[in-house]
Amino acid sequence: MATNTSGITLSNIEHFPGYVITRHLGLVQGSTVRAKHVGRDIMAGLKNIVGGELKGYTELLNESRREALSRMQAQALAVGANAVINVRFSTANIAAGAAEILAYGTAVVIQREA
Amino acid sequence: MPPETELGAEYSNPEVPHEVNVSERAPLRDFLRLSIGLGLSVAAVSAIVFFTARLWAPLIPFRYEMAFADAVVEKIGKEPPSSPCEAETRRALQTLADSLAAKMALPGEMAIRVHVGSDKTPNAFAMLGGNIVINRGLLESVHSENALAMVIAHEIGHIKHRDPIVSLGGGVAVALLFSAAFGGSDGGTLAGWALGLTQMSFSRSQEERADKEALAALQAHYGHTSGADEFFAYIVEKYPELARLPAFASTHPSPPSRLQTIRASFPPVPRPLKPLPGCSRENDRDGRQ
Amino acid sequence: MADDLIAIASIIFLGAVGYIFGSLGQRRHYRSIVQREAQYRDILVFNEKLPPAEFAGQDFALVCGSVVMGGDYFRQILAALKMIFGGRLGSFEAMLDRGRREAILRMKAEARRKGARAIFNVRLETSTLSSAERNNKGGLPCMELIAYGTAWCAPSGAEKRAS
Repeated sequence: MATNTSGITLSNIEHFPGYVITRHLGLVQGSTVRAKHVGRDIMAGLKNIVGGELKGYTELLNESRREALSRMQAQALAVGANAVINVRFSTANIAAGAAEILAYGTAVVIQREA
Repeated sequence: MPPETELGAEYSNPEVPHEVNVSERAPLRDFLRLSIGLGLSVAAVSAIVFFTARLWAPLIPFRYEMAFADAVVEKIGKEPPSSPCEAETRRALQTLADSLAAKMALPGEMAIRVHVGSDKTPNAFAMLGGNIVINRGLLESVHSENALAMVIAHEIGHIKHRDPIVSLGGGVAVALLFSAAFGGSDGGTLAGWALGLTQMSFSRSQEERADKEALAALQAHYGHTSGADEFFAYIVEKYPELARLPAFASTHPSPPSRLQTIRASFPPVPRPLKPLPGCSRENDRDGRQ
Repeated sequence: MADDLIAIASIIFLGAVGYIFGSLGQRRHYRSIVQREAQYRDILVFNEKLPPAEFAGQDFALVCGSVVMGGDYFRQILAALKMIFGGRLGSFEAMLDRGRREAILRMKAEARRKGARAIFNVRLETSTLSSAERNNKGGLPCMELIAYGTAWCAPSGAEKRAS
């Protein structure tokens, strides 16, 4: 199973053929609120005139999502899990140019079936 | 430790470290750091705008300058005339200014508005937005329409070449920046403060150019420039010390040298001059009696 | 000029009040959250869809907890400053963290009233009630945080199985 630097596997499904979940350790969550600086807001505003990808914002949200996941993984690590399953993302805008990204899931200990 | 038995040992909720999701540490220190940062950036941008304004201020469309002048310089021309005589003088001055402006090839959207100031100092100013203020003291110290026309045409010359906005350029630009950034009434207040920091003064070359424009306008309007020197001759006679002040002399062509330039354009034989327009001092005095 | 001074003084006053009472309120709220989290520790939450087989045939019910959180005046100014330069809005993170834990606690309280032992398929949602979008300067962030899931009553014979 693929793991990343923190050693916590992530997945948004909850049943893994060939694996057993030996412990269910409850809800873990990671969230962050970020804003891009005004310069990027202005560039995004200009880009909005012609449409297409707003790179500044894509980058902002990707960075935030990475951080939310790593915060969630920190919680999972602290409760002794090796995976977070059924991961859900939720995005809420707080102000123009600032957004909260939330990631949550259930921390578990998962093992390959013997 | 609460029992985990009911659900079986494999289901539990150990305590999670919630603090990973909160990065607020020292809000007051953050606030100070950010305020200082913002203050410095605003100061830097304002300084850049202030010192480069002379280069691009003349490119600001005149209608923006007019709208801005109306918003900031509220008092100009708003007070009602004190007497019918005063109203007549204002109308006559405006008519004279309009007929001079018609000879000066002003850009299309430029309009000249003449106001009478209550100050007794013999002086006149070109202000932002095509506003010209003629002090009561000036009206009382000249005796012919030609002399008055010279002064008005000189101020129109300044306006034609956008001298007021170039002179105030830095202050106006910073003021406009503030109005754009803060909007509404706050913007107006800050704009007023920024304007207060700058003083209007014209360079020697701006003055000489305005004189040249004025002489051409008088030539076109009256067919000659006789009488154009009256006000300057009066100034030289009444305030001889002006010409000798080093600071004044360095930015203004000294009145004697302006007189020479003006007199060089005179026709060989002096022409008859027109009386002062509007409600004259004698009529005014009669009216009050 | 006098108007400007009054405006500046009121901003400073509101900022100071916001900072002092906002920080006090935040500390008190966190104390209460930590205490109630200990109290409701025995109600387990998971966002897995299916409860374990032991729950088959037990009573279940939808449970929900929600809270609307607003930022204080000082942290709002701080966030507005931060949004010029970009980066993490730490003061809003605390607000949302408190709100979300509060919502989960209220959901657990409802589950406790229904006699439930565990909540499965928990979903967390955030929505903006009023944001700075409408008016870039004066908008107070105001967020609703919701937690909902399906609460399951304890399986019969659990005690037997555990012993």
